[in-house]
This record gives sequence, structure tokens and C-alpha cells, in this order.
Amino acid sequence: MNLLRRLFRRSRMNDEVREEMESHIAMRAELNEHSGMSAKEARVTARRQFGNAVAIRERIYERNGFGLLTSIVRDLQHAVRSLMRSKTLVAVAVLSLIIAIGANTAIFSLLNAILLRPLPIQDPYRLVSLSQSDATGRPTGLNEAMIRELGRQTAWFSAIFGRSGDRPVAVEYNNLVTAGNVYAVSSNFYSGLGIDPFLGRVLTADDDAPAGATPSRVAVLGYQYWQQHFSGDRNILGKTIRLDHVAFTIVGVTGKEYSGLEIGQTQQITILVGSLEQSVGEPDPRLNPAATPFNDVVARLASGISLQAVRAALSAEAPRLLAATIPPGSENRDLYRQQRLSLDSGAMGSSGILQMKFERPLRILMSVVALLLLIACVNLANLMLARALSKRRELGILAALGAGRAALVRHTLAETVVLAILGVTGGFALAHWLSPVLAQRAWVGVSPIDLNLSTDLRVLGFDAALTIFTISVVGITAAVYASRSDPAHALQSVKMPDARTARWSRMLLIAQIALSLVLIVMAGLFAQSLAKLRSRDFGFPVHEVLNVLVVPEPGPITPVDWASYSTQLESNLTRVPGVRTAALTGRTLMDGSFKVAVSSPQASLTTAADATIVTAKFFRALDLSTLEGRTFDDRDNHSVSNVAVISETLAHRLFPKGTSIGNLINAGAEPTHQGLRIIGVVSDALLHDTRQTDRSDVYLPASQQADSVWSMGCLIVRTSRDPSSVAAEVQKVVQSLDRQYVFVSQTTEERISRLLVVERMFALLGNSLSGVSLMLVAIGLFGLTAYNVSRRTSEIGVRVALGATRSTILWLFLGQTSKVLAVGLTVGIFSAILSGRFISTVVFGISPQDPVTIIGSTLVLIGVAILATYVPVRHAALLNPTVTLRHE
Amino acid sequence: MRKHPDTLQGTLDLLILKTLESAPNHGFGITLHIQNASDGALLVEEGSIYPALQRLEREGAIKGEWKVTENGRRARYYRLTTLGHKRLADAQESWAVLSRSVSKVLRYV
Repeated sequence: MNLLRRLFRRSRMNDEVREEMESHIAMRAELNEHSGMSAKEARVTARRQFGNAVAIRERIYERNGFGLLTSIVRDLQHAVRSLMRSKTLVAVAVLSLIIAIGANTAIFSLLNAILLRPLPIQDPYRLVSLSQSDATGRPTGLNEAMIRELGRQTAWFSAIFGRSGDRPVAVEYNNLVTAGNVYAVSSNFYSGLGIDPFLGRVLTADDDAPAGATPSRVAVLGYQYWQQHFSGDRNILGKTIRLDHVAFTIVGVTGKEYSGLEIGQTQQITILVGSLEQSVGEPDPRLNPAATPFNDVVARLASGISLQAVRAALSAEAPRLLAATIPPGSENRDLYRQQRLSLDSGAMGSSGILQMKFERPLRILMSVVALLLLIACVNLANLMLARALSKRRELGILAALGAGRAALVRHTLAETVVLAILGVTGGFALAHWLSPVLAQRAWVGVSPIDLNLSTDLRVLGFDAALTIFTISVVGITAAVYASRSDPAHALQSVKMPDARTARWSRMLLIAQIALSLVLIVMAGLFAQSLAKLRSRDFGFPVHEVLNVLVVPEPGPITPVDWASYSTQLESNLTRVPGVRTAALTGRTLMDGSFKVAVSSPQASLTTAADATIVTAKFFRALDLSTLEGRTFDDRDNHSVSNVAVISETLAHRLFPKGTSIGNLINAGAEPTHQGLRIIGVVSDALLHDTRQTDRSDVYLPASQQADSVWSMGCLIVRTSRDPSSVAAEVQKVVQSLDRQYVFVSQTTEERISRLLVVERMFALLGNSLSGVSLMLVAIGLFGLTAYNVSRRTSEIGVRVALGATRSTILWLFLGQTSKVLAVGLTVGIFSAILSGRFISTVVFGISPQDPVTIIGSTLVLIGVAILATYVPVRHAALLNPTVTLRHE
Repeated sequence: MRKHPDTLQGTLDLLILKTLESAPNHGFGITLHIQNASDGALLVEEGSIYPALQRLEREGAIKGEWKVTENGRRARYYRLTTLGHKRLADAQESWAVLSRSVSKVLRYV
């Protein structure tokens, strides 16, 4: 504050000191006049007698101590004024900075939201997540007994609580039934996390009841869910909703920031564990010490103890804990004892799909985008250099007048700082708009995610770092150059740059070209990957299939005659206009590939394949042709041994010689999937993941394998027109049979898009960024050539006068840029080949060092270079020789 | 732009303070007085008095305020403060010591 006051006082003091000195000079002039000088002479002499008023004032300011701050302000003001004089140059520089910094910040925001920012709960870093897995690393979950045991370790944990996996239910409210996801939690879940409600209250221990009794049927809604499905109705508290026909009272809504234990996933409806199960005919899990009701077990560390200490204590005590919690009636007690307990930081929530899928790609993306920033900085440096060159005269005069080296450096640095500040501010604004757009566009097709993309200290810090980086790289180069300007040299009218400047400028341009080539090659690879993934031969008509997830109707579960139900459903659906065939399956298309081990006594090797339970109509629905034997029909029921149909690839791999029909295979570990007799081989199809390279599939008949109401959860509906147009009708037909209802329906294309999120993001960014970098290179080359041309305008005039044609002149200048271009391209090609290694995980169907892409990108750059060179040359060559010869 | 050696700065301070001992004055007046009293030998560059004036004022030895001269011109008049009187006494003492010491060295054979 004192400083501010001094600053304001300073400008007043400025004026006062100046007035005082002027007054002195005036009085001296008066005296001189009285001694006989003329008025004019008197004034001039008075000034001379006074001395260097400016220098004296400077001394006073310096001594007064606030010289530095105000001179910085003055430098900045001066910089702004001088930048205003070359508006186009500044506009281009700032624009390229804005785009580069904006892109960088946007990607970093995404990275921050997904990977860096902890859960919005109280003290996230004191949270740990507990997991238990068997000897092979497969997670088995902590059972009730284990949770109780760990709860007794008050030295380690102050609270331990859990959350189940999501469970689809029918949500009935105001006579409307929709599909929703319910999570069951322990009663100390909210208090353990430290979540306060936004409206009403959260679930507490008061709502709970001892095991065996039913806890209060109360529910808490998530904010987004409340907004979307209940219109954000503030009178929602106390109202009743029915979950799978069971009435629950809504007691609260959680806040906007808290979306769940997973980043990006909303916890739609939360109830207490045990409150729903008994009403739908399921046992209370709390009564069964072997039950594992929770997908996520989370604990809060006791105060004063570190995560490492607890982790060590846990591994030490693990044998005792495991021995004490062996599930009763368990077959292999030793196997249970060999399981492992582990502890990880829970600050980032449970490692959701989002984090696992996007961690590597986002990091790669950050490096790619950083490249662009480098290019923009190099561009800026070159521009500043050109500017310094043109202002050499001005700088030379300043130096001759006594400006110290520091002053010159400050002068040039001030301009860079102004540009950098403009660039970062604009970039920040751009990122603010860009990151939600990126998230939306890339995530099309997936269940909507709620990412907290707000700015926080990390993002701000990142931008500050970018600013400093830009200023350092650009500003210091230009400033150091400027301070070396020799006044004598500068004052000459010859506009020839010294060799060092020209060399610097060329080197910068080479760097720019090399970096741009790498960026363009990457963009080309990403775009081609995406295209290849989209246009693969799927082996079935992708554009004509609707995937419908169906869920059993709530209520007591009665045994179902699958044969008659599935036949009736499928034939009813076929009667819907637009539907050709429908088939029930155990899993939907494009849900990822989950291979199981496949072996056969008649085969010499073991391999892996995806196993799917399907009804007989499946093969016709997807137009899979029968290559050997037959597909399923009425003969495949429970009175004969279990059969299977396999894909062509699997057949060739297991039984390369001779037929597969009649051979037996074992698919996975399920007891009913052993010793399956192969009755047919069908054509290959890409059913599970676009990135799949292996089309090994085993198909099992529903008539033999469908055993529980949960096993047939998907309908494949083959349509004759746009699949989404029949969705409504399909839903009606399914519900009319009163056994299942539709949870969600998506076209196969939508599901494929969902799987290609990462690739789409890369392609999108790659295209835009390489476009920008091309633009920057064009500008750089244009500038260089324009400069060369203006330098040699008189020479051009002479040549033209002597009979040179336009193309001769063009070749002359092309020769100059071609050297820069050649070196730049060579460096770029090498860098592109080297960096290919790092992006190999996100590229598909094409080598990261694909020569065609590299050559193509090179040609694009050459084309741009020629164009950028041609324009200024053409202009000069067209000028009248007399004009050019007079040009100095 | 040379830094004045301390002795020179101290000497200028002494001259200014002495000038102001008798009566308050403005910068030009002080300059004239010093020039006349030294027969034109001292204060060739008139403006160099002002940094000293600023500093003395900042240190509290003199106090300045704006007044109007007889000719109707605005000028800043300085006067000695109590601290200034003390500074003057100290400075005169130092000067006496300095000049005696220098003379001694010069007389040394």
C-alpha cells in the first residue's frame, strides 16, 4: 500500500520537481537578459548553465527508490505505443500465440479434470481405497467380515465405508417410469467423505438398522440427475419414488461439485445397503459374512498416521486378517488365505474407466500440443527479430544517446512481455470456451460425463508457466540481439543485416519447418487411423443394427421358459415395420473384447476367443454365413449335450487340417462351457471392438445356456432402414410382454463412436493444430522472402531492366528459401521418424513411420513454401524497373 | 552519471545548509549565493544542486514549501529544520577536521 501511495505521490512529485527546475531556469534566463542577452539567447544559455535536466531528474528518481516500478510501467507503455505502429505484425503474432496457448490450456484443463484434480470432498488426500484380489491379481472384493475386522483397527482408520456397483432399476415418479442407476452405501458413507447436502440432508447412521432389519427407505439424489429428471424441483424433499416397485422417500440432493466416487460419473440415486434387497426377494448382505456387497471400499486414515505406515501395517497383519475372515463353507480355505489386501490413495477416486482409458492418450496429446506452442514461439521470435532489425536505427540512436545495455534489453523485453500477456489472456479465454467443446465433441455417444472443467490454481499456474516460457524463449533472444547493436553500424543507411542476424533468422525458420512437419505427419497419422477404424470390414451390416439393453422387470423372479419367451419376443419384433430380424444375446455388440481361454482335446494348442450366448436368429440377423455344418435350431435343447458354433478364424487356428465339426472345445472356466461339441463354423465378424485384430468367437445357444434372468440382456435388432427410427416401437413391443423393459438403445454406429473417443479427439486436434502450424510456416516464409526481396529491390530492378523474366526472378529467390526448406524438411523427417515410437499406441492400421504420410506431408509443406515465396516475389518482379532502381 | 564521492556530496550538503542558515531560500537563490560567495568557482552545473536538495529534504534536514517570489513566480523555498541545524554543526566540524588533516599531509616533508 505504501508503494502504491508512493507511486501516486511520485507522479505528483514528478511534476513538482520539473516545475521547480523550470522555475530555476526561468529565473536564470531573467538574470541573463538583465546582463544584456537577447531573450532567446538568455533562455538557451540558461538551459546550458543548468546542465542536463533530464539526467538530473533521472538521478533524483533513482535515488528516490521507486525508479524500478515506474520505469517498468513506462517501458510497457512505450512498448504498447510502438507495437501499435505495426498492427498487422502484432495481430499475426498475438493470434498465433492465442491459438497455441489456448490449445495447450484446453488440453491441460482436461488432463487436470480427469487425472490431477482430487475428488471434491473433505480432505481427499486422507482417503484410501482398499481392495482384495486373488493370487492372479483378479479383484475379489472385501467381504462383510473383512470390513468389520478392518473397522476395528481404529489406529489405522477413523472410518471405513463402502459403495456398491451401479444397479439398474425402474424408477417410478409421478406415474412416469424411467431407467435409473442406484448405488447402495453404508450409513457412514457421507459422513466419512465429508459431503454436505445441497438440499435437504444426506444418509446418516440414524437411518440405519441392525443387520436383519430393514434400514429406512430413504434416498439421496445426485445434482445432475435431479436437474435432468426432476426438473430441479425444490419441493422434491419428502416425495416418494419407487425403485423396482419399492417406495423410497427422497430426503436430499447432493451438491453440484460432488458427482460420485468416480470422476465424471454421477451417482444418480443413493440408498442404504439392505434397504432394497429384502423387498425384491434378495437376502440382506449384511447377514452374510461372505457377502461382498461393495465394489468400492474406502477408508479415512486415522489422524497422525501416514498412508505408507498403514500400508506396511496392513501387509504385516494380512495373514491374520485373512485367516479370521475365511468365508464359511468355502471350498478352498488355502486359496482364500493367499489373497492379497492392498491400499491405495483414494484422493482421485476409484480408478474409473475414464482415467484408465485417457491417461496415456492425454499425455501424448499434451506433448503434441506443446509442439505447436514451440512453433508459435519460434514464429514470434523471428518476427521480433525482424522488428528489431527494422528498428535498429532507433535503437542505435538510443544507444548513442547513452542508453545503457540494460535499458536496451528492457526496451525489447517490454514488447515481448506485452505480446505474451496479450497471448496468454486471449489463450486463456479461448481455452475456457474450447475445453468443454472438446469434451462434448469427443464424448459423443458415451453416457454424458460431468467433468469439472473449472479453472483452478493448477491451470492458472500452468498458464503462468507458459507465459514465462514464451517470454524467456522469445524475449531474451530478441533482447540480447538488440543490446548488441553497434550504434555506428546502425546509423548507416544500408539495410543489410549483419551475418549473425540473418543466420539466426534462418535457423529459427528451419526449426519452425521441422516442427511443423512433425505435427503435420502426426495429424495425417491420426486422421488415417480414425478413418481406418471407422471403415473396417466389420463382417456384418453395421449401419442396420440397433442394440437394445434390456433389464428384467422388477418384482419377484419367476422361472422363465426361455424357448417360448425368446421366440415370442423375436417374432413380435419382426412384425414391427422396418425390422427384419431380432435376436436375444447375452452381451451387446461393441462392448469391448473379453477373451476366455479356449482349448480342445483335438487341438494341439490353446488360444483365446470371445464367448457369446445367442439365440438361433442371431446369425441371420447379422448375415453371418454358415461355412461348415449348421447353426442353432430346435435340436439344441437340454436333452442333448452342449453344442457350440465357432468363427472361421478360430476353426483354422484350432483345427488347421480337416473339419472342426464334431470336435470338442472348452471355452473359459464356466462348468457349462466345457466339452462343447462343435456343430458349425460361421464367417468372421468384428463384433466387440474396432481395434480388434483377432476375430475368434465362440457362440453358445441360449436354449442350452441361458440359466438366469440376467443372462439374456441384449437385443440385436436388424432393420431395413435407419435403426434409430424403430427404437420407440421396439421398446413398446418389449414392454408389452411384461418380462423385460428397455434400459437403453443405441445404434451400432453410436457404440463404435463411443469406443473411438480417443481417436476422434486426436484426429480433431491433429487437424486443427497442423492447419495452424502450416499457417505459421507460411507466414514465416512469406516474411523472410518479403524481407529478402525488399533488400534486393534495386537489384531486381537492374535484372528486369536487363531482360530477366518474372520466372527467373522467382527462381532466384526460391533458391534462397530452398536451402532453408531442405534443411528444415530433413530435420523434420528425422524427428517425425523418431517420435513415431511415442504415438504408436494411439495409431491404428498404419505404421507411425508410414512413408506415404511422411512424403505427403513434405509435399504439402513444399507447396505452402512455394506459395509463400511466390507472392512477394511476384509483386516485386512486376514493379517498374525505374521505381525499383530508385528504391533505397 | 558518475557517482559523487562522499566527500563531494558532503561538501555540497554543507554549502547548502550554510546558505540556508541565515534565511530560507529557493534552489536558484541558493545557487546564486554559492556562486557569488565563491566568486564563480563552485557550482558550474547549476542543476546539480537539486538531487542534493531532494535528498536533504528526504532526510529531514531541510523542509520545502511552495511560495511566490517577488516577481510573482512560483518557487519552492527551503528552510533549515532543527535536525538541519545539527547537521550543519556536524558538517562544519567534519570539514574543519578534513581541511586540517589535508593541510598536515601537504605540509609533510
